[in-house]
Amino acid sequence: MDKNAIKELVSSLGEEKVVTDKEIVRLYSKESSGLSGNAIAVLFPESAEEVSRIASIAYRLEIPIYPQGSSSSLSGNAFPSKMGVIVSFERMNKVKNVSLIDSVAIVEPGVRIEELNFMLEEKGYMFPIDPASQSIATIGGAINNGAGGLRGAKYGTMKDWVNGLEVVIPDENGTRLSLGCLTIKCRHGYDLVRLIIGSEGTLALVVGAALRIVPIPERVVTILSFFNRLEDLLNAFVEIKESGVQPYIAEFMDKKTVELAAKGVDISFSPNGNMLLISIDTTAESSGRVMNWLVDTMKRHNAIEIQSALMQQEAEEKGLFKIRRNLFSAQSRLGKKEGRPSRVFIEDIVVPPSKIPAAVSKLREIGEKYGFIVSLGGHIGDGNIHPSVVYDPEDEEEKKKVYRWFEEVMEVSLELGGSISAEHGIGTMKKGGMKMEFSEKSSEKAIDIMREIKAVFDPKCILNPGKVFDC
Amino acid sequence: MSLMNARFVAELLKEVSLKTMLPVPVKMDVIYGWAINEGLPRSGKRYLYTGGLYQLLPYINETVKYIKVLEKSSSGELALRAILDAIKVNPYIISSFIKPKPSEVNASYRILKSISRLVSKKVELAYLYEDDVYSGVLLYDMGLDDAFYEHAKKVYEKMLRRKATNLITVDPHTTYILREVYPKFIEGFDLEVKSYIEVLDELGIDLRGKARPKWGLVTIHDPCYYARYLSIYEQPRRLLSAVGVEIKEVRRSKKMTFCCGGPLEAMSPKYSEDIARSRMAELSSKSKVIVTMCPICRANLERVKEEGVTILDIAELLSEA
Amino acid sequence: MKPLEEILKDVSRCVYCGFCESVCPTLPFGPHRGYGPRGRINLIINSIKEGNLSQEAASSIYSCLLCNACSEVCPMKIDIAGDIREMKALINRGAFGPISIKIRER
Repeated sequence: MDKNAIKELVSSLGEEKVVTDKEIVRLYSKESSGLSGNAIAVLFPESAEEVSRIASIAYRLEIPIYPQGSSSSLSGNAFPSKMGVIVSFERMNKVKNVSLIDSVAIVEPGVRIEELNFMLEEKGYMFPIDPASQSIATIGGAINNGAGGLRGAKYGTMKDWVNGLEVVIPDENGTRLSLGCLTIKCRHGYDLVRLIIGSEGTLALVVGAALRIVPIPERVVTILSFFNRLEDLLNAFVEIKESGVQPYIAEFMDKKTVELAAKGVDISFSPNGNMLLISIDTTAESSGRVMNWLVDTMKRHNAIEIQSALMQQEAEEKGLFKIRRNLFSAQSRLGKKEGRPSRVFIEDIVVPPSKIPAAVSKLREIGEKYGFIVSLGGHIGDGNIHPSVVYDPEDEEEKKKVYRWFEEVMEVSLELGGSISAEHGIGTMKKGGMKMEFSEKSSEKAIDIMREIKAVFDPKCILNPGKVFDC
Repeated sequence: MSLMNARFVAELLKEVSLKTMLPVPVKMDVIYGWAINEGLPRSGKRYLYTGGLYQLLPYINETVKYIKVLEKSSSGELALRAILDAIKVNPYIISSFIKPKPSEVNASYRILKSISRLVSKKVELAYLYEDDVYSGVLLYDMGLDDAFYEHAKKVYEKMLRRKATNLITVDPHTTYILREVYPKFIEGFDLEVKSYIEVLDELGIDLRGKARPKWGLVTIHDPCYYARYLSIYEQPRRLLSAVGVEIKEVRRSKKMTFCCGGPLEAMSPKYSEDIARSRMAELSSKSKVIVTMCPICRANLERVKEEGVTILDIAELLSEA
Repeated sequence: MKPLEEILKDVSRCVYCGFCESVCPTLPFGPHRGYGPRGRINLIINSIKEGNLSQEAASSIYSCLLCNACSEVCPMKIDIAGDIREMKALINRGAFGPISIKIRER
């Protein structure tokens, strides 16, 4: 079957768009979660039409298709879990049109978020979804993953920024559909756009998107504060919210994580204690007033160290974001054993922001129980926490321990009225977690409904099979 | 199109280097010809060491062109094999085919003269003349470590013979290889190696008057080896500011500079050119005057130069002041 | 020259985040992920562990400019260009047999 399939794909796409070299295919069969599989080929379509041909061939030959952006998935939603073909969207990476008056950017799925923003920045605009992986994360991946980011509290997640989608579904003809609208207002029956966002490539192949864009705020003031007590930090945040202000960015890290993340970071102040990083968008005229109020608020809540900046550039120069940006790097190197392979396990739960102190204390308890060095940071604005550990993937005992830790972390989110995944998705890793969540909410039937929806879009279950749930 | 086997390039480079101590078979005076009338003393404490990259680059590019022609000929790989075999016997056999444009050779001589004059104003500078030999940097970059080691030993012997203790280099690749790599390969190598840009930055630059150079606003293309391998990126900016040049930075500058694509030139010219073109577009969006400080970057960007763009070596700009 | 085990030790720290790919000059013009730092590093890991290297993989590794932008953004601070150069030296020495290197653009 493989040989025939490849022959047919080559004659349909051309040789240069079908890679079968085993060593190269392997590079596409792995993702940042550390999970890997195998595939017969990687395909590089350059147009929606070619994607449509692929879908049609795969449907007829019943070959699984694994759509892929940059494989930065942390939940197992990008790697090929069974033999099949990988469809890489890296060559469909054009920004086709940007209209400021319509506040919309028409893009192909392989455009990287950061690249889009470099382009928009020149016009004073931005696409506000900013996952930590934005330098490589593609629009197609972000759509399918329902990505969020630092600005989640203010700007929401991917579901709030896609007006329309062009998709291909796996049927006899590889049918192309245009869903949603160019405009933000759009009411024509069921919202299939929102259904596909976050579907992790299991419903359709996204070949184009109409994205909403917004102006970059005139000014962004930033304050970085450190607190001895986590409760004080939260109270400071509560006061900001109760004053009717929605921060642009609101990040926190607990004391131990600050110690890790600040290592080797070149800054002129001494980071010590639980960290709160707040940015607020203002006008030029109001920035001073907002800044003074922020400093006062932090002082009133016993901040022991306060650093502030009236403008983005000043914040960069003072290094106010450096500790936050170093978090992934610190997480990755955490507890790493010399000469051993390592894998970072970054969890992604969400709780109502008011429950963050309770979540942190529980997560610390669990970490200690398993003897892991856990880093704890996240988006306080939207309650999304990313506890993470590093482990040796070749050490079976340690791996088992990590899975148990992982289960307990998800339980914490549910106990506190949250969810097991905020922005990384279900993939293969959280299929059990998703069941747990719906059963906790006595809503198991929801998964049955999802399964039926999947069958309508993808009757042969060839689109990213084995992800989210089993067909 | 047939794709050339890059290992052929490696083998050719190795053969020529072992036989001639140069990456391409040219006469040694190509390297020191620029200094003939400059009156630099033959001995001293501080030596200018060019390592020949500026002077050789026009010849290297011609050789690459020549190989491409052979490769595209009807006999293709056979012709390349034959050349390689002939070179093993007499490397100079291809010399007569390597004729760079005189303007390119002159440009590199002009840059070197500027550098030597700028530095001479500040320190007593001697020159190595016939011992100003090529550093072997391309052998190292290609991973031809055995040949590089043999070559580096010979270079070091020459330096010892000239009793050199301080070397002032002129390009990022030679600076890097001498400062960071030689000590790892050559036991006891303890020469102090500094780029002339560092030297001028430390000692200050003499201005002839207050006249602003005519170029005004420029953009800088940082070479990878200065910016990332040696952390030399503020120094050239300080020097340019000192002579009244205004700089408009591209996004990918300083430590995050974007490679010109030059090192791929010998193995895949089209690939190298595409990278250069994307860099050129970025640079020219900031200024039509682009300042380089590496002969490889200069040559590679020059090939894809957009209309109205001027590419200047930093030494040319500084010496105008 | 770095010993083989040391190269392997360094490249094995890769967490596959892909951040390096955002700054690589060769990747956007290459035919696939092999022509970028994450690809090259993982080709090195697999080939050293398993002792073989395809022409496509060797060419991918060879296409590196050694510009080292990748190392600047690598969260694990892997010496990416350094390791790739060492790998070129290994290929030249015939550690993986007589492989032809054909660098191809997309």
